[in-house]
Amino acid sequence: MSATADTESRLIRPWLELAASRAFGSYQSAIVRIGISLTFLCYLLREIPHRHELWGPDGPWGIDLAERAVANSDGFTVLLWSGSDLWFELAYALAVIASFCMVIGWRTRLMSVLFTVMVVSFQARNQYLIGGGENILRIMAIYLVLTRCAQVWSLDARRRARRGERSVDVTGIGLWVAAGAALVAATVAGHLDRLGWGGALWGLWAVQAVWWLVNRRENGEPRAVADMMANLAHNAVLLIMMAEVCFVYATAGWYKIQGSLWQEGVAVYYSMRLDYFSPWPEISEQLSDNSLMVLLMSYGTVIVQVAFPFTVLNRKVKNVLLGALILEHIGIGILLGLPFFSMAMIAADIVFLPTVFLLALDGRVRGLFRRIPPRRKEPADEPAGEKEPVPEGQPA
Amino acid sequence: MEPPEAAAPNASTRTGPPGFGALSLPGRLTVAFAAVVIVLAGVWHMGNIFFYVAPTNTVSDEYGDTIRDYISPEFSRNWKLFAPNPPRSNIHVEARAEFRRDDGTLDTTPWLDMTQQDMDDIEHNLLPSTTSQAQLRRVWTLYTDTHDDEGHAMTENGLLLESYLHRMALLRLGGEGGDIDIADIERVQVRAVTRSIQPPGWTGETVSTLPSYRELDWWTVRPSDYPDDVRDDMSDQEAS
Repeated sequence: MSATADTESRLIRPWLELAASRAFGSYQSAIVRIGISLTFLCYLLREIPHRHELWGPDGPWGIDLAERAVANSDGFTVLLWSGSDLWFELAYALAVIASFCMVIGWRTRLMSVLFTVMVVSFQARNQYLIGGGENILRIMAIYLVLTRCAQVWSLDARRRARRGERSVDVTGIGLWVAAGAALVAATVAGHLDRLGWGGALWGLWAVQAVWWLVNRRENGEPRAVADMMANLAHNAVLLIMMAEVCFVYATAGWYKIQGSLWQEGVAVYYSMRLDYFSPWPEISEQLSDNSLMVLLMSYGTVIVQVAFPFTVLNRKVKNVLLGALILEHIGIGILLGLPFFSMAMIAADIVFLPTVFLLALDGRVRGLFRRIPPRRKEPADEPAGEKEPVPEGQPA
Repeated sequence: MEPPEAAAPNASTRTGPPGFGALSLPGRLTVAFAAVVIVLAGVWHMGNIFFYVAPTNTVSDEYGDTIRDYISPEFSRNWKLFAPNPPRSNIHVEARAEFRRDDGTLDTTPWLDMTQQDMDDIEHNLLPSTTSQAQLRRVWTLYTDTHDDEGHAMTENGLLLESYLHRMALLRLGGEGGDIDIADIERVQVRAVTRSIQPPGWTGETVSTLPSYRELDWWTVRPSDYPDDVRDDMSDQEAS
């Protein structure tokens, strides 16, 4: 190796080795998985009585309209593969099941794909129901597919701890075959002819096969290489998830700064006087009649949103602002009547929760459910709680 | 920034696969190649997102279509709730129907305040449904975005939204518990009633809260606008 190449490798290689060595932020990715899928699960359960009106073949946004809109937007939705009621009910049930399996982390690799397909499908089926909450939910769902989000707090982790990763897994093989059959059927029917979705779904399916093959030999080099590549993808996507949350607040904050009502500090007054956003008119009127309160809430919102992305490099300030954002979203969820928007935003925010906090939470929850055996061992040289979730942050 | 301690961390304690350093050259090259691809894809992805949300600039002027093609629809976003300004008025969407009486004469219903129906559902409700919180509100906003002042659709989606809006009105006017049968409705009309919100008391400003009206043309109900069961009943009756 030449001298220059040697210097370069000394600069880059430690980072590469670190990023490939393990999937960072296992608790953070797990809690985002639980939060995002729980949001969609609650949303689907809430809308069961209204499901036909919102997405059904017989709703006001009928198949005839949706088909043209989806063609215009280039969207992907399994809900238009058939116009029958049975298909719709089946898809709804499948969406509920996939969300639930994501929450409990059962067969997460397959379920994360199914979950994302269902989220995207329902949103594309009626694109006019999409708001901020739906956007962040969909974007995070897609990212979760590429993260190792079931390392902890999942049935997958429990199974691995009990049986070891490489015992014969009949259910897993069965699910893989079933997924393959579903893909074949969809492809033959011409529903996967677009390269983006067809390629992605077939590709992920093939990766599962490769993963299974390389994992058959313990400590083999192919297995190590595959593991490192999965870690690299996980760490990169986790970083992107964090950047995504920063983008959300940066844009939301900077857009507001340009508005005269936010500048005058009265924007919250108008928000609370909107008919569609005052489920508790008594409280909203009380709050919005208080000039100081309105100013504090208006300026506070903008300051926290604009500042958040700049505070992620300092964990103390970041944690304070994170708390403020979560509290604000709880307030919005109740006072403005946007529970699922708030849940989705909080589910994305918590990717920034500190590991210490999550470990404490882990202990608490385990105290409640004594039956579940201890979590998978973290590498012993990593004192739990001292590490920030950022994969390439300052060295510990 | 100092690079972290070289791979030492895990190689020694971790049972299982060997660390990066212990891989063969092809193995190391594969991992390094994957890293390069992942980093490039990540930079491409975040770059697209940045220029998608950023104000119009030289890059988005040049590559706007590429960026939109990449982002939409899967990564599309819009974080403009109440930004740059929250609305300063309340819009109530109302609808009325022209229907045929049993004796064959045509009659018109009074205006039905659909927004008030939504508000009644939302009030004191911790979990309001999308059907009352968002559906009508978003469809009306998007309708106004896709139509000019004369009510002409400016895009194909505008035409689709017209159907959606009038079907919603049809369902509510002829809904269960209503006075008229949905199958008797021949035309529906939608209007928006806008009332300004009184500015906060401490500013000393006042505005007129008299409503202003925007009335759309009458919409003749097409067979496809009725729900399936109603349509089936109607064709059965015609056949018999």
